[in-house]
Amino acid sequence: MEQPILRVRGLAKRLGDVQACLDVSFDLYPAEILAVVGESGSGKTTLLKLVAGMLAPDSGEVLYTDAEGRVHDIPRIPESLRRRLLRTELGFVWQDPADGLRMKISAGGNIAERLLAGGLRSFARARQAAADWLARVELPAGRLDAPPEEYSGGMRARLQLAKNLATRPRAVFLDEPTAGLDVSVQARILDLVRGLSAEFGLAAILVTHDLMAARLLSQRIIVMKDGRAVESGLTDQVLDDPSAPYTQLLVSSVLGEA
Amino acid sequence: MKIPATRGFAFLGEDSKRRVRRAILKAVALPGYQVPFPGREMPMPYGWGTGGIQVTASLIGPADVLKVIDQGADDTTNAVSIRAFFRRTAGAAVTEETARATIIQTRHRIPETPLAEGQIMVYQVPIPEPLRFIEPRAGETRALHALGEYGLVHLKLYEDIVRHGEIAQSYDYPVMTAGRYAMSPSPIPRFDNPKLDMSPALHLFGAGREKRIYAVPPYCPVRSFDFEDYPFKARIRQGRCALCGSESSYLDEVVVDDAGGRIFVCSDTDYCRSRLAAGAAAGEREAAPAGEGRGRPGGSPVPPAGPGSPDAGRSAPGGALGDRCGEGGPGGGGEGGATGRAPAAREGTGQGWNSRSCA
Repeated sequence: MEQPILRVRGLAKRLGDVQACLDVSFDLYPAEILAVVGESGSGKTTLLKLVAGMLAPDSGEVLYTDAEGRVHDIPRIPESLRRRLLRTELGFVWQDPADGLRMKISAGGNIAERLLAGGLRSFARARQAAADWLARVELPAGRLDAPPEEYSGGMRARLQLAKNLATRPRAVFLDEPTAGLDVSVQARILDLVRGLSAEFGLAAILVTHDLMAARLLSQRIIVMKDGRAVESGLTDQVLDDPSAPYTQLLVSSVLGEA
Repeated sequence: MKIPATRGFAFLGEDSKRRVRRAILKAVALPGYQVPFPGREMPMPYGWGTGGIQVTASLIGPADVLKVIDQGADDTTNAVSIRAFFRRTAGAAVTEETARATIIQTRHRIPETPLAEGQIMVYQVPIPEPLRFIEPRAGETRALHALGEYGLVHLKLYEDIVRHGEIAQSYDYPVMTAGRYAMSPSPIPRFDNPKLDMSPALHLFGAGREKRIYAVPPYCPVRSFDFEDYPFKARIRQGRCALCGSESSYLDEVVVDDAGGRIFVCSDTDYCRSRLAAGAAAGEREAAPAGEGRGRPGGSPVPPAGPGSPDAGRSAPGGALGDRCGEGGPGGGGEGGATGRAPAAREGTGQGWNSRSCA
């Protein structure tokens, strides 16, 4: 078995009076999609931000093994390195695309941003790469120069994916990538994520409250409640045969599946 | 002129000036870095040059000679007012001649006449942050400066090319200072950007509203951002000044009648006037269309015309610059030495516009 690219150990974070995350540990392997599910307020997004280095944990470590095999403890490396990793080898897809995109900059510019930040100094190559990625996420080529503020919600979600994938990251963190989208659009975006993960060997942590999305995409799953991981394991196993009482409740609450 | 007793020298109190100077020293030590300073209320609205005035006020001394330009001109409202302000509050000597000035406060231009060591340019800066247009969060832009992450500047240029087919940013074109900090050169036209590179003068930028000072010290490399396939071009418009005939200076478009008639003239009035004076001295009175275009202030310090040589007449007034030997046209080279006019702007260095060394 390959080495995990991300090893999370004993992560804990208090936000005010709330223990948003307590003693969470897991591994993420290359090309694996790990789902984190739980109800609103269970600490899913906090966990994702801790892993991505956007929040500093109270304790615990996030060990990322980079493309050259060096191990970085994300919360403790210098900010410059963390930012560089986050715009090259890692990606973060925000729940609200407006947080992850520059709404008044053209779609092409949004995709090119990470490449330009990485030192690309050829306009033609930046534009070509942007056009390629626009096609990969199945956006019409004619919208390359339109700003995302003119895009629909589903298109923005795709564009945000393209923006993050332009530097060929090794892992992306997806925070409810399908929130607020209608069901048919959700399905296509999930399909896109699965395809890209398979094509590029991309690992992903998918935070969602949608058990169907988790079942569709992920190989493994973590169920969170009140900041703790109450259950984890293979997705099919956990969802078909939940052992923790909370997971049983969660699974049985899915509409139409009871 | 008597300085009003109610105010200190040059309007600001000594303590305020000391704080500005401290910021200036730090700015000089960190080329392109925006140093915060405790900006004071000035007796003029923000946007009229409060930052530049505070820098000038903290620098100016009794021996200084001040030149103020606005849109390249010495005779515009803002320039006249600021000059008058320092005449009144500091008793400063003022000039319109670039080479005579020790401090040049400017809004939009760097003079065409090359700057020399010992001169200080003071810029009035409206928006000091070059990343502001794309990243509105001030905390984030500070982080980007600290970490030297300037992909966003290229993103702006990318957007420009997408929208306009070329880099359309024609003024306030971002530069990299000393290979470290991205810097907004204030609203000077990009035509003037190359003048910042390795300039022998000290360039100080004061932003009054945002209370920031930054600097380009003498002989500091300043490079304009660009793409490999869209290299920086200083010149946008080719043309010739309708008054002095210069083909190398930055031109303003001036509407001259109600029928849509317009001419292009040097935006640097001092440069244009000194060339006209030199041209007139070289026997080109017919080529100096004094009645055409905008009027120059009558009381300007144009040096008295020396003995003109009729032989030195040239078809192109531009030749009067004579900074390239042997281009003076037939017969022009020889007499050029004899008729070499040294406008007052050049008296100090003893060099005329027509270089005597050519003879």
